Amino acid sequence: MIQKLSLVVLIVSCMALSACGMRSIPLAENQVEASWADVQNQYKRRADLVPNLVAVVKGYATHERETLEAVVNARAKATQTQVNFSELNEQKMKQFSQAQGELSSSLSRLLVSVEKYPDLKANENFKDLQAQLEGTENRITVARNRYIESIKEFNNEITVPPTSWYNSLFLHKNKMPQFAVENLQKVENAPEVKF
Amino acid sequence: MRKNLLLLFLSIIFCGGAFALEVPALTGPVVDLAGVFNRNEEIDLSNALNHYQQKYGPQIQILTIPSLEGDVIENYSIKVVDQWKLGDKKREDGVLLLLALNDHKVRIEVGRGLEGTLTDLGTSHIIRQMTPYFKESRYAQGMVSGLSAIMASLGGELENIPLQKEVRHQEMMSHAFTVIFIILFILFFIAKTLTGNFGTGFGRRGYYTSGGGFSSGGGGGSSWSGGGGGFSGGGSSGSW
Repeated sequence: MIQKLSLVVLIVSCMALSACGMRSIPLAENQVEASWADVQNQYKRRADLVPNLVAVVKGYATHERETLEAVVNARAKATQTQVNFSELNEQKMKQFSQAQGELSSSLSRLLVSVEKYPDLKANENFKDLQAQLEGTENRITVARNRYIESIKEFNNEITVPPTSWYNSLFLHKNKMPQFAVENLQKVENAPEVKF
Repeated sequence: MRKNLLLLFLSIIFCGGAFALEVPALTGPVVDLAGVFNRNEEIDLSNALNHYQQKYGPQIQILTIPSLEGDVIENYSIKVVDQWKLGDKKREDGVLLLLALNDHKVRIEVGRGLEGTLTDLGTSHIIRQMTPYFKESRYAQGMVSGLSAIMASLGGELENIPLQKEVRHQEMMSHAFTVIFIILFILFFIAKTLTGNFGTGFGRRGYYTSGGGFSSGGGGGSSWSGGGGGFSGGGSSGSW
């Protein structure tokens, strides 16, 4: 009799646990980890393109020393600011997106200043680099969106019942940081477009 | 006053719905909503893309839309491929060739498994080769030139569309004749067993039924669907 009862209890608890986050929370966490790796990967891809871009622009745009230097510095800072998944928190995330945001804005400033050099714009090498840069920026956008999606899933898992009960009982995982807009200040003071 | 507010609220809700451009149904290898291909071209291309997938593996899809309705082409195309999941699940070898006619935008979206062979730079070169056609409003030619370039860089070839046309027509006609024959035979058999005689309208009905079979055969078949391939934003866009 007792044996039968314990068997039933075991089965019921197994079913309850499988529906309560024993599987789904780690799955969601792995998804976040994978998409974070992809985000970093795509940002690295962009950083790898920058030296080539700078080298090509240098040959033509002789008066853009400052802009070029800003790009080089921002790249150095961005490549230093790597965040491992295990140490991902609100503050690290802020540092990371700030460093990448600086590179983004210095790159866009460079591409605007390039407009003054028709020879450079017609250069095949430069066109190719620009195409690669555009492609990479798009990949970054996609990777960021996937990360945002996976974070949402994970945070739902650990905060919304019934899976949150399992988390608060056994796993004690915290919410993970969502992407913030890079350099909110700069976005607010967006440069004026003049014709 | 309150009524106005309610109206405003409702209109915001409905506008929000209207701005999001829907992903169309995947009806075949060529989804030509902008109408840049004529019927024969569409049939030929569908057959060629079907054939290419069977022979070489990668699933290449053509989508033309009249307008992006304010969306950004990169956004829309990733939305489309996320829903259609072109390419094999393991090989992730889907490619989307997207044309937004009135926005003068074109994009090649490359599946994860093909990013090594069909790089962003490669697709950018292909697009630069397509846009001169678009400037002259020769959209079908531009798309075909892009398609053959994509196939060439993936290590296959587009079976020559204009030359193959006659052969395909013959093939299809013979298919159509088979279908007509079978249907005629069945109807004949039924008519004979049921009534023992048949009127003059009978042959006509058989003809029309086979006409239906003909068009569905030309559309690329019902077997065309995404295999679960993943995309992560590879590819390139251009405008003209």
